[in-house]
Amino acid sequence: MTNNLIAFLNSIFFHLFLLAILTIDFSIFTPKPVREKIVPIEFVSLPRMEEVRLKKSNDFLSKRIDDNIKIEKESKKTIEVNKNKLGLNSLESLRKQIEDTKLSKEKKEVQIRISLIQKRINSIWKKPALINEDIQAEIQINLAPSGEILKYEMVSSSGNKIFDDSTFRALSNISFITEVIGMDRKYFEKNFRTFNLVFKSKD
Amino acid sequence: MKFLIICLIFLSATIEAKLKIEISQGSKDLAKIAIVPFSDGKKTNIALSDLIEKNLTLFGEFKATPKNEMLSFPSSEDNFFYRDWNILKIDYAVIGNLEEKNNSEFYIEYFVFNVPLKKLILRGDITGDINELSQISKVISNRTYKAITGLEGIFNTKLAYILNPQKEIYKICVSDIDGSNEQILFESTAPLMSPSWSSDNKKLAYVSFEKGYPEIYMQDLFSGKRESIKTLGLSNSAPVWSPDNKKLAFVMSMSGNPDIYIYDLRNKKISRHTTHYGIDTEPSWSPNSKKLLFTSNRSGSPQIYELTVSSNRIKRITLDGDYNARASYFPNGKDIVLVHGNNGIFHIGTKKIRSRFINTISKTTLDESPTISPNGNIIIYATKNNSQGYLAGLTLDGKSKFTLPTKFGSVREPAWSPLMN
Repeated sequence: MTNNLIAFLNSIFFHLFLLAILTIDFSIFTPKPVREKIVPIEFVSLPRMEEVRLKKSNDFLSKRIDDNIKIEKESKKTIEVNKNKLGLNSLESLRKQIEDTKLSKEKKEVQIRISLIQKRINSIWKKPALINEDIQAEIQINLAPSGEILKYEMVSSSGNKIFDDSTFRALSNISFITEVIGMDRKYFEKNFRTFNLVFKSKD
Repeated sequence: MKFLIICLIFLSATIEAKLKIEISQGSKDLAKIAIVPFSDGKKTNIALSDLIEKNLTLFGEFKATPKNEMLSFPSSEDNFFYRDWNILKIDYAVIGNLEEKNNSEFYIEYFVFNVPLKKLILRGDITGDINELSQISKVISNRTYKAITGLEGIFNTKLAYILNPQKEIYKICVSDIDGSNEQILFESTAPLMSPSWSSDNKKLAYVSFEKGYPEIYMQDLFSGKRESIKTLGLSNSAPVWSPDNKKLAFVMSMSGNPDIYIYDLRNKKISRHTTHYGIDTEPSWSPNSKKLLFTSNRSGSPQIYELTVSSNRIKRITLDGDYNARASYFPNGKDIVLVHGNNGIFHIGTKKIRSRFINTISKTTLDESPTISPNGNIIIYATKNNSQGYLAGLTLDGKSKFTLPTKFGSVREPAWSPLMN
């Protein structure tokens, strides 16, 4: 019981000590020299106020000037960046133009060959007389680069046997599609190695 | 994962994008056909193959190969070699043989080949009398035509027409499709008009002015018996038999206003189907006997209208041109042939019922009274050359144009018979 009491009292004294350290201003025990002069209020003059105001104004203006300079610098930077971009755009458009030219050359050549093939097949296909039926038959052709027809088969029938037979009859009369001879090999492989002829009853 | 699937879809789309070339015009050349003289060692075979050739080339649908160009004369499938005909670029070959059974009866076997496809497309036989060679040739021609084109052959059908050999002489005539075997059904000093076939080919309806006013008569082709339709109107014209043979549409004027009427052949009753104060005339039946085309000037100029018989609902069909008249349906019921005029020039034209566009197909300028073949592939119409009327025709694809042999006198108003059984 005595020990507990001692322990309790010790705890209280310790807590009080902590409290004292935290709250007491020990600077009262070490007086500092007075650095400030106390000026009676009647000695704060208008010029002094003006000085303060001017200073404030100058500060503000300086800040504005700094900001403007910053903005100008950034604008210059943006212009430079845009100039560069423009240059890049021209390059891009040039590249695109070159690509388009290549494509249109291929397109042109393919279109010419298509027209020639259409003319040839139309000249040999004896379209049967059909009373106003609107039908079509689709035949897949496999060609060799020499134009030789390697294989042809019907991929979509018209539903009319006479019409289907007429398309086969037309193709049986030719062994070579000479209209593809001499074209760029790349174009041939892409477009004419395998293609479809769509025979239509209506013009 | 989703990205991969999308990539695969795009890839497959590019793979599927194959070049497709459309072919739609076709050659202007006619199909070449070789009719090889039928073999029996006698003269008869040449006559038969000649008749078949004459039939098949009648409307300019085929180009016949002359016999002196043929490399061989096969008579059966066993001795037919495709290379002999491929060299000549023949599309179809017809061969056959005759076998005499008794005095005048023959057994004929025939074959039709699709030469480029190396296929036999028809094998047939027929027995007939030597005196029926013309009929036999028509039967073989019809079957050959159907095997080649898929369309019904029309070589044994007939044409009815009005012949006006001189002033005040009018004849209703019927002939073979090539103009031969002409028979006069009726002759009059008064005008005759508008012949129309019954669908069983047994009767002809026409208009006669023999009583001083137009009256409709139905004449039996075999007995010659005539029967007129008793009506209240003073002016009856433009009779046309329905395809189901139950009715006759015609035009009657009551109080001076021509309208469309229907005469029921079973109960002899007449029903009125148009009531407009405009002129309604030239009725023509649809293939299913449910609708009628007719010409009317109710809009201010002659135009074509379609009438639904059961409801009397009328719909205008033609919108272009200042003159559209004398329309009739094609066998498919979806297209019509008509006389189409603008500024005094008249052509034969065709039109889809549901489309506005009229396709002009004849090149002569005073064309009238078109009649369509029962298979719908040929149109014959009346036209004039220096006031002389004659019959001309063309195929629907425009490849062939022809004129029928001219007659002594002016020929008008042709009417093509239905298919003969």
